Parts: sequence; structure tokens; C-alpha cells
Amino acid sequence: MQTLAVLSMKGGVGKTTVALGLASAAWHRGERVLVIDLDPQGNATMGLGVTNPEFTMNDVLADPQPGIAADAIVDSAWGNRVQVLCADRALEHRNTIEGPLSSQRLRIALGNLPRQYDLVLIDCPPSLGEMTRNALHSATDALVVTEPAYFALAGAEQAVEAVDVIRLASNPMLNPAQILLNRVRPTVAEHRNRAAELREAFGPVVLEVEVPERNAITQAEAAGMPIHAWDSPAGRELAAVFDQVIAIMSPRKRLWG
Amino acid sequence: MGLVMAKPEFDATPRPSLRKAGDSSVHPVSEAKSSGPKRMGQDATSFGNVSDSVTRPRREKLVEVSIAIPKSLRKKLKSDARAKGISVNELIALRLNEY
Repeated sequence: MQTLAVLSMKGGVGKTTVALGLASAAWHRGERVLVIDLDPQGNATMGLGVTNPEFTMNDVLADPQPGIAADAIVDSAWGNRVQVLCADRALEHRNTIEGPLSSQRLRIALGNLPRQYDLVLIDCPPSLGEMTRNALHSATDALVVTEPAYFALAGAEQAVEAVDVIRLASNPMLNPAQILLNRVRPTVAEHRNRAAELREAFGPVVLEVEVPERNAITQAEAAGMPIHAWDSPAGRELAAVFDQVIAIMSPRKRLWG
Repeated sequence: MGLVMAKPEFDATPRPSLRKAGDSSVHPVSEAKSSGPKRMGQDATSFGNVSDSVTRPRREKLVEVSIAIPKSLRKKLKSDARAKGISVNELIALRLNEY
């Protein structure tokens, strides 16, 4: 059982794309996956083909009784092996400090639920507010997504620091963050330079594997399909990339790696 | 002597079902007051000493102004204030600010 938070300070770097790519890789491996959408934009919810859910994470976090999140889980359009805790715009109401256990709301509401899944993925909003704090208090691993651009790299640094703060202060189960470069165009000199800069600053924390920029991702997302079911050369290339990422991030690999 | 494991206590109390949050239909940018349940403890504003708390605006000194208005207008102000979840004084200050 692994709970992986996908985060970044900066918006638009592809957190949801990566979260869905990893969900797709786990789905392809036959695993049971729970995707928790903590971004009020609800893009992960949309990408998993769920529309107008009865309950969302706003309802769950407004009254976080132990294990109550179970009532809000729905099957995704990918099948019942990939389930979702959906987001809606009202979730923005919960992105404030609410009570002394504010940052523990998600962990309490989930209860023992994560044990029913092989992988729990948390798609965070692009900020270090209460939703991200909740995600990091529930997570065992954190994957910081960035793109090879100046502002994005600064955002990645802040996200890695945030993971360290939570890890050292309040969640000892959380492993140090790893960084994944997304939307990479190796033929662009600026991308190569920024990627090299990131690797120099963070060393092995940056995953060797990079997600290339391909239209197949947005096409699969718009169609509500897992990238592993998107039958095109670019789709297969991306599927192989996410297979590598999930293998690197898996608990066994981290233990022996 | 072997280790004796503590027997976990079984909590037979049924968990309450999930219900819609009071603010689920309120747009996040709307001025309407959130009525979401806050069972977890104190009000968020009591946590001033945290890094991501919002700094409160400087409180201005209040002065009293007496004016005569029709009774019907006072009634309307009271009902508007109640609908917005603020006091009549706050509502009047808001209106005068906009003037």
C-alpha cells in the first residue's frame, strides 16, 4: 500500500497529467487504485470520466469523521479497479485552516481505506495551502512535478522544501520528495539547460526518466481514457515512461534501491 | 513468557453517513458566508500564529453617527443584513463605502 501525493507550487506543469499517467500505469498492471482529487479545478475527476458526483472532497473534508471518505468513492470510467474521490470548485472552501486538526482532515476521513488499494494517488492543487498540507500528512511518498522552465524550477524547490518540513515535523511515514520533469522537448536548448540545472541542484532526487511533451496525453485525457489504452506511437511511448516512473516510485524499489 | 497483545476494542458505534457540506452550492468567490460544518475544533481565525494564516487588516477607530431614516428602510436594512450574515452596522458601513 502506497499513498503518493503529486504536487507542485506552480500551476500548469502537468500534475494531473502525471497523476493520471501513474493511475493508468497501475491500472495496466492490474492494481487497485484510488485517485483523490484535491484540486478544486477537478481535472483529475474529469479525466477519469466522472461527472456530477453526489459527494465530493468538499463534503468529506467539511465533516471528516473517521473513514467517512468511503461514502464518497465512485468508480471511474476506466472501470472499478480505478476509483475516485472527486473534486469540485466548492472544495476551495476547505483550503483554509479549520480547527486544531486541520491538516489531518484527509488522513482521518480516509481511515483504513488506503489498505484496500495497491496505490492511492493524491492530485494536489498548485499551492502549499491546506489541501496540500492534508495530502502530505496522509502520504507515504511525494512526487514533485515540474517542467524545464525558470519559474517551474523555483516552484519545484519550494515544493521539495515543503515535503521536508512536513516529513521532519509531523509525518515520519513520508519519504523525501522526488522530482519528475514533465513536458520535456529534448530538441529545445532551453529545456536541456533547465533540466541540467535542476539535476545539478537536486542530484538523484530528480528521476532519470522524463515525460516528453506529446499531444497524445491531452487527447487521451479529453477522451477520458488511460494513456495505456491510447493506441498510437506517442501513446505507447508515454505509457512506457509512466511504467518506469511507477516502478521507480514503488515501495519495493525504494526499499532496495 | 510470551508477549501479550492488547485486544483491540471493537467500536460498535455506527459511523454517521456523509452529508452535503453546507457550502457545497456556494461559489468560492461569493461573499455569502460559508455554513460548512466545523466540528474539528475552534474557528479558523483563532489560529493566528501559523505561517499560512492571512494577516488581518488594521482595525480602524469607530465613530458614531446618528441619522434619521424611515422605519421601512431600517426594516429593509435589518433583513438585508440578516441575509448576508453581517450586522446592520457592517452593512451600512459597506454601503457608505461604496457610495
